Amino acid sequence: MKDRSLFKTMAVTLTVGWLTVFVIVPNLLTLSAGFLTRGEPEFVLPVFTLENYVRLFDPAFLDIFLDSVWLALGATVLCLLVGYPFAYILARMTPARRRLGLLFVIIPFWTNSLIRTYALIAILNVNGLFNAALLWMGIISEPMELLYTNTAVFIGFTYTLLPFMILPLYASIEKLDHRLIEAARDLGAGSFQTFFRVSLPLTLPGIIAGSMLVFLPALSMFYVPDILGGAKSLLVGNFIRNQFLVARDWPFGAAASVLLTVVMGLLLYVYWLCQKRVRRAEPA
Amino acid sequence: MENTLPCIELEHVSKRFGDQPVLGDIHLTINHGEFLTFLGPSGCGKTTILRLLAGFEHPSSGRVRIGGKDVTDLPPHKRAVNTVFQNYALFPHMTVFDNVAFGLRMRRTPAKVIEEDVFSALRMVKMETHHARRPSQLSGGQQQRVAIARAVVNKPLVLLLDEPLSALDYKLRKAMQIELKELRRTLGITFVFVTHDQEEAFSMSDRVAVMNEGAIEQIDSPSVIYEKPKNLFVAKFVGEINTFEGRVLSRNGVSMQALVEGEEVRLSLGGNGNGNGAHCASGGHGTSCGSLAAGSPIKVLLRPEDVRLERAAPGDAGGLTGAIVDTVYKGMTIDLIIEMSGGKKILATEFFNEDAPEALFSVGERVRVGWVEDWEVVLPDEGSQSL
Amino acid sequence: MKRMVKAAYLGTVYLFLYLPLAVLTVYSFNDAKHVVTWKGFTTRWYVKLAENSVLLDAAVNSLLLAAASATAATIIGTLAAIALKRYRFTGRTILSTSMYVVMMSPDIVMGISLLMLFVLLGLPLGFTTLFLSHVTFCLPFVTVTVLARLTGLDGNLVEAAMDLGAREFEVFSRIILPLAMPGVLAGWLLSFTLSLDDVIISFFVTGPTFEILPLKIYSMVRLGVKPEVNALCAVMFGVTLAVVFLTQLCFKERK
Repeated sequence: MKDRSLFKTMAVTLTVGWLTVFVIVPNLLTLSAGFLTRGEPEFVLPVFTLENYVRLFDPAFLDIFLDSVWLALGATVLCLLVGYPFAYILARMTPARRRLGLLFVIIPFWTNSLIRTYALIAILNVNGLFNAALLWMGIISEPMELLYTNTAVFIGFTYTLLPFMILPLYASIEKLDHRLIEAARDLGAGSFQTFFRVSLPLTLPGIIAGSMLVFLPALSMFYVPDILGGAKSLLVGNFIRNQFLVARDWPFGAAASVLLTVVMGLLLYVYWLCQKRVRRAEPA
Repeated sequence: MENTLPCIELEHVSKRFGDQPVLGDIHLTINHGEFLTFLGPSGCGKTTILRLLAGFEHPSSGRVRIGGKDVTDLPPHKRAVNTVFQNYALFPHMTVFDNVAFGLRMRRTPAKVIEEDVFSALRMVKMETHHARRPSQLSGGQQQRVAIARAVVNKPLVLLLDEPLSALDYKLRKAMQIELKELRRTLGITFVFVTHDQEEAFSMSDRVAVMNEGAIEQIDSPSVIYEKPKNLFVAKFVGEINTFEGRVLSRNGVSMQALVEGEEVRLSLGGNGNGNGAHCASGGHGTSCGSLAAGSPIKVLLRPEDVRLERAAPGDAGGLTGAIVDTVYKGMTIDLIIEMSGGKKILATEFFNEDAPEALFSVGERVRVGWVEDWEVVLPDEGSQSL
Repeated sequence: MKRMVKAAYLGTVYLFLYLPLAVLTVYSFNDAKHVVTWKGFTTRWYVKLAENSVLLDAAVNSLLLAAASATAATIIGTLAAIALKRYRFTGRTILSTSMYVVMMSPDIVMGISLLMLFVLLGLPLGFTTLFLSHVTFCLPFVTVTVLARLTGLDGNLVEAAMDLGAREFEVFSRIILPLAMPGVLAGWLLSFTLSLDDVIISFFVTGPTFEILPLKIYSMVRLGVKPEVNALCAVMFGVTLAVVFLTQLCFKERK
């Protein structure tokens, strides 16, 4: 209708304006900064260069990047292996128990990850619980130096991000129509086959969503390696932070961020493709 | 006291959604105080016309005038019309009183006036004792009444009703139809009603507009539509009808000789007395009397109650004879299903006459189908070719 | 047998999730400074915490920031949801794309891009920049929550209101808002929690004039384990517990 409403105009202007200024512009800035040169004291000089992106392929950075990817991937896989059965069992419980179970997953999910990371120190410490348990069980004879290693960071990622994997997995598994599994069994498929040919493909969107919610933060969270890994651990997240706040090489930091964004974009694309396939296969 | 000035004017209004045409060239006038119903199957565009009048849609072309004022570009809240929705659309978070008072509050009516008007409207629909209840605590019929009160309390020029009774059960519908007619008498405003139920349309309206695929096929009083349908669609949509195939042999002013189901009969054209005669379609699929020339194919329509049967003479196997294959006793009437020589099935309805049992037909008897002169309807056959 | 295995598995994972926090809580009552062995029950770390004005100030700051950001984000987010649902306007794509971008972006990318914006605009880093950033990343979550609620709304109700003479603002304030209220409140709670929880984005856009709790904890934690920090973490864990249960109760009532 040709209805001019002040309320409507205000609502639209406010929301579009805010998002343009605080989302579109900053992201454009990041994108363009990657193509500019560093300056002193201006942080960024408007001189075009591709050097930052070239430097991304420098072995120095590449090592860091690959290390981070490896670590993040490992954490994702572990979360998936631990989280899938958990979500599966949870989804098959009675509604009352399910809600309660979910509640107890949500609580750590909502607790500040910083605090949870910090809590791990007490466990992983030389005099910590983990070592104490292993010593007591006789598996080791001397306490292990877990803290300030990549292993600690790995455990830290898995610990903080596990709920992020469980929740999307749960959502996806809950939507699984059990009759499909019964039908597969009825047609002679064993448990293994049923899982790989029916359950797994249909819950793929949940798997991908959960993996993204673990992989991406694992790449970019810097306080976990900072607290648990100490000075030795340098991952992409820390790296970017250093570029911005220590080394003051903003263009380079921006280029690295863009790389992260590209990785995220690729994962989202894969996710979208999977969603399409599953949705097409679903009965209307 | 009826105002003969038009209340609503739709001037060559059409509407399309993207590429989809929904309404063709609609051009009509509705008078003050009139009860007009748009009748048609789903998808015919009747609800779209209502929404155009209310202001929820904007016509792709044409103008809309209400009360003499061009409202085409006016939004709903500036028009003097109110709508009663199919699913009532009562505000669930407000009481009945607040629902009905809503429109008045939007116009900044003083509180004292609001209270009087709301209770008076509620009394009109017999819901005044429920004013503090919430919609979820009311039955369907009660919600419907509140929806009506909410609309009429604003004293609109026009009341639009979008299939308001379709969600109610049969008995309740009948009761509400009577109440709506009474309401209309009390208020005297223009009612524009939309339904797909022919009986409902006929029982309440001054005029009915039969619609099909975005066009108005015929707009007349119920009796004219029933007895003089302009085309096959209207004839079939409204009540039961029997169709005979035929071809014009010769025309002679007000009558014609035609071959009907292979037999030569005389058909009358033009309405003299109570008869129907031939009727020429205008609008809709646009045919005219001119095509009823010799040689042109025709359809002869007969309502079941206009069929006259007599026992066929032995050996009479003409096109207009057939055998009774079923009888359905309906209390006041008897339905007879006759299979004609050509295989077609005909429905005849007769009053059950207890005093003349010998006039009763039984299954298997052969009969000859006829009709009272002038009671048939002759239409050009829109589907076939003429010779 | 199978049931026991399942229960055992669930139990182990829950244990894994809660053990560190439980241990932390226990240690916060441990009457020892650095040693892990139990030396007796005490609440003196909590007392010390209550006296630590720096930490308390930071906590209050965080709460203020969270409340302010949540409120602003709820207002803007709700308006955005209404705009997306009801209006056609140029910039619609911008709106939905940016929401999506915010929800999906890694925190660190958001953090640095906002930092660059603020430096470009010459804004001093402090409460203002924190506020603007928090509102921005909470916005989309409010919009998604409110939109979900709006989709369930009967479209006829809005038309009925317009039919009865309501203008846009009245349709919003009298019909849409009251009916969408549960979603709006949920959005506020969500934003509040997200704001309190944020570390990374705040890290980049914070300034010396306005200290918030997560960052204060961060700087303390880097220096090693401290008993007061244990107590603080235990308190925050308790607060989260309370908030989650509260939200659950809220939703139970509305049903």
